[in-house]
Amino acid sequence: MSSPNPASNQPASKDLLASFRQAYKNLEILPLLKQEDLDNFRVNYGTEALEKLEQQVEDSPSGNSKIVFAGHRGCGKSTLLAAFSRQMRDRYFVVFFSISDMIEMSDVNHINILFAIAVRLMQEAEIRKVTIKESVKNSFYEWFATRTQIKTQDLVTEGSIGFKLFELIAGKLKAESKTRDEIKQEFSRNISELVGKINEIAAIIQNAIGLEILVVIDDLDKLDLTVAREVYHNNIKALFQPNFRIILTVPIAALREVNLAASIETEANNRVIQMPVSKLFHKGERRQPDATPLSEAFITLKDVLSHRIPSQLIEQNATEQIILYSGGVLREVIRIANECCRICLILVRRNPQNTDLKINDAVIKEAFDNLRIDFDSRLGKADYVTLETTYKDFRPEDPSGQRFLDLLHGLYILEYRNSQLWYDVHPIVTELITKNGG
Amino acid sequence: MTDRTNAKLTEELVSDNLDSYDGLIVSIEASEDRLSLLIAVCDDTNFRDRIIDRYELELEPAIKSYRIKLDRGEPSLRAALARLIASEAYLQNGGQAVITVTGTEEFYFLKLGEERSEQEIFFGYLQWTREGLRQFPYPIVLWVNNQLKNSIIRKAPDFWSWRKGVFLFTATPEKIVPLTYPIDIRVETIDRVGVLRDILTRLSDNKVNVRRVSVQTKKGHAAIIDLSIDVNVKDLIDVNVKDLQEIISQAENIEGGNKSKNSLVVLYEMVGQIYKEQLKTCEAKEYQPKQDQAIAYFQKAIALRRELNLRNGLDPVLANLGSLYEAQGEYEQAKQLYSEALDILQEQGNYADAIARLNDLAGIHHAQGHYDKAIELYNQALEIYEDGKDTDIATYASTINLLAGTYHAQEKFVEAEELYFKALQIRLKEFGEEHPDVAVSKNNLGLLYAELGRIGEAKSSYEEALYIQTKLFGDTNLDVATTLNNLALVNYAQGLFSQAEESLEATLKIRQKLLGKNHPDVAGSLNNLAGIYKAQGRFAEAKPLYEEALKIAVISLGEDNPVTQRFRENIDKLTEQLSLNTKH
Repeated sequence: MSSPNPASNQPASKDLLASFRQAYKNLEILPLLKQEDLDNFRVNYGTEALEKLEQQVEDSPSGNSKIVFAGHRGCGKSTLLAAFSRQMRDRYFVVFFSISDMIEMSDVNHINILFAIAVRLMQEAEIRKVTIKESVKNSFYEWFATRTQIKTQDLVTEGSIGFKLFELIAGKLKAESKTRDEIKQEFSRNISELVGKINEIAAIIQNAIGLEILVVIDDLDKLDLTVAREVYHNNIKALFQPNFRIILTVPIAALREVNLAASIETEANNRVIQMPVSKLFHKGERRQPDATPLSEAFITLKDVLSHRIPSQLIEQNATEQIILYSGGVLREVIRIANECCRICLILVRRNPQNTDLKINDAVIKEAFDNLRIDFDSRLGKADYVTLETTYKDFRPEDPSGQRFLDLLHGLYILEYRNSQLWYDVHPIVTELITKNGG
Repeated sequence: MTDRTNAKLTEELVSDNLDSYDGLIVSIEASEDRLSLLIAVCDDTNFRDRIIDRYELELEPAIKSYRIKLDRGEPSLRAALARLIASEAYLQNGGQAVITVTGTEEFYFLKLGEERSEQEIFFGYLQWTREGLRQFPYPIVLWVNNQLKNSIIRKAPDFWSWRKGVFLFTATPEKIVPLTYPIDIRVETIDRVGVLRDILTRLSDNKVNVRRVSVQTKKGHAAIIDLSIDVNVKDLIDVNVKDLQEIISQAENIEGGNKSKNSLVVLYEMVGQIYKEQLKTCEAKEYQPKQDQAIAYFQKAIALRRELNLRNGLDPVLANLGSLYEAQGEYEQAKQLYSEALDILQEQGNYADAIARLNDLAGIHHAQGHYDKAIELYNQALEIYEDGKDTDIATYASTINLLAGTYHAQEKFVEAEELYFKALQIRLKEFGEEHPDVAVSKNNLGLLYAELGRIGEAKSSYEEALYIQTKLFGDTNLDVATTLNNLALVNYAQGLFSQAEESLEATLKIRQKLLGKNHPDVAGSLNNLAGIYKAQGRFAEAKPLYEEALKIAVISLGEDNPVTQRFRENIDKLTEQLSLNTKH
């Protein structure tokens, strides 16, 4: 990796406390969205998913394909989409946003997603100072202003009215359920007017800037299944109407429901990309003593850690243990390492004289214990049965059962895929099963 | 923070709590300029507040502390943070700070007729505000209790997955404050000064707190002494009972004429009363012996009162003994005692207590299936109020409610609903929304609706009852347990097993906590929970619960009790089922 590495710039020996604090900070659980964070911490991963995304975007004969993106919680989807959006900037007018930045509560529906797209297109055009003829621009403003019942006169004196207007709409959309209700009322029977306007905006921007539009909407995979059903089953046709490229995330559970998956696959014209968890082992190999992990995934995750923890602070073996016990889930790597740093910080706090503290086997063991307790505190008897079955058979009795899905979402159970789908129990949880006499 | 609370906290911050505390501190310190969601878990708000005081003190002045309490009307973490930052220039300028968030423990988990409960609204916000939170580059310590923590994991899994740390704190239980039960005793005496002094001395020797003493005198009549005393329960009671019994045996051996016999009456009644109170909380194996003791002492008191012709004050003892017989299923004896009490009360024109005895009698007839007789007696009780001889509207409403219950049992659903409703209306008018009796009414309506298959109405009635009960009593209360149990049965009937299971587990926990592990009601809960497991085909899990339920029932209720027999049948059926399963 050639990118700068702030972690290794910290002299560990001089100030252990500061070094561990920096490492703890570096172990950011949230996705890397800011350029600075990406520069500092991003490693190459998910190449396959990136390539597929690029291919699907490029390979769109009429330039209006809808691409559905799904993946396990914590496998790095958001970071990947942010990176992908940056990467596509030269070729497309990219609008990347998280739906949760636009709409506060769980009353997401196809109409306010569409409305959010319109608002974000206009905002982005303002920010990038896309030259659009005054009269055209004003007609858009007028349209939005009447639809959201904001009086334009109130805004005129504020200078650039367009930007203010959209800030205002975005704010209202996020905070006011009343506005969302009004929008829903306004368009629920007349969706084509909204889509028509969105298409007009897109066409104008595209003409002005000479790039085709690509909208990337993240965090739609956080929807409750009932909401997801409403959006992706009952109203998917309307949602997919805009005539430009859109990448949308969906909850992985939505792809488990036969009906829902079918409508998504049909409407997206089979452009469904699933981002798998990194396989550290082939199916079943983890159970064998002295199994060697698959080197590619292992190196990627090692790279992630080395960007965040300077090598002086961690023993080689500890790094490997963290990766093996993450089950290949990116965020779990970070979480375990984070716990290790916290334990070291406690040790420094209790013994400030200590100058040669490192994340070693003892620290790792304590971290695993802590995380295991955290996992265990939420498990009931029946959960153990499901875990045991999954551990033994690499699949549960009922892959669409609620208990199993909860365990999957809670990262107790991890999903892997190559030509076929298989499941395994989180390595830290595995020891709970054996302890409980499984 | 005072030195005393500091010292107390130091005492509490040992082992696991200390690890959590240190973990929390180092996490806050290492979170400069970063959003860091730190989840702190504690069930005891006092302990929690001491911890907050302590870390805030320790972190100052380098890290400034802010606290926010979430608003129940709009439980949005993001909105609360935005408000705080908008009002603090220090935070706007990016000063180093820690923000402590409390208030979540006050959110209701019940829907109360709304589309979503307060907790659900809170989870909805949490699930959706993670991105919104990124604009707040601070460590945020969100305090929750264990129940809420577990719910967040399920209901706001995305938010949960972004947590930077979870810190569990367990309060060491406070020294147990002895619970006391108030007991009212009435004794009639000629030599009132002598008897009173005697009683008071003995009580104070036994460290029994006398709350109130009143003496009524009427010319030509014996004086009536009313005593209100507080008796310690549990272990402490045993000591007192032994002391009292010793005094009794001394008094029994003294030839002191009516004076010492008068005080013996008081002592018998006290001891009987203590045993009766102990039944509420005692272990199963002690249940029958204690019940026998209570009966024996009340019988002695009654016998002595008859001997001394102390008719005034006899009726409460008759009622006490009657209720013990009733609990044993000795209905005829109970009826006799209640009737005698009723005669006394009518002679005295004590209508308030007469209503209570009429209701007791009606209750027995109801239990025996003599519904028409029960209805007649309830109506007599109602008439007393309607004639203006009694003015206690609370009792009036209760009687209506009982009458409704009898119609309900007779399957006269129209009458039952009408009367349940009438009682509810009176209670709402008199006591407002939040009153235990209102909860009882709603619970009863729930039962009726459930039976009529009006499941939606049944559920919302139970939920409303629960809302009131949890608000009034917290979530460890026997009425809460009853309502949860009923709610579970509705869910069970609908096949919503996991919801039913959840409520039944809560019921069981409450009952075990308040009644001990071997109470008949605990057995009932175990039996119901086993039923849920069985319905889901989880036979292996059901079996030990059925067995435990039976074990408790045998000890506490006896082999022949119908409840015990039902539990036994359940086990037999399950065993049959299991053997069928293995054959296939």
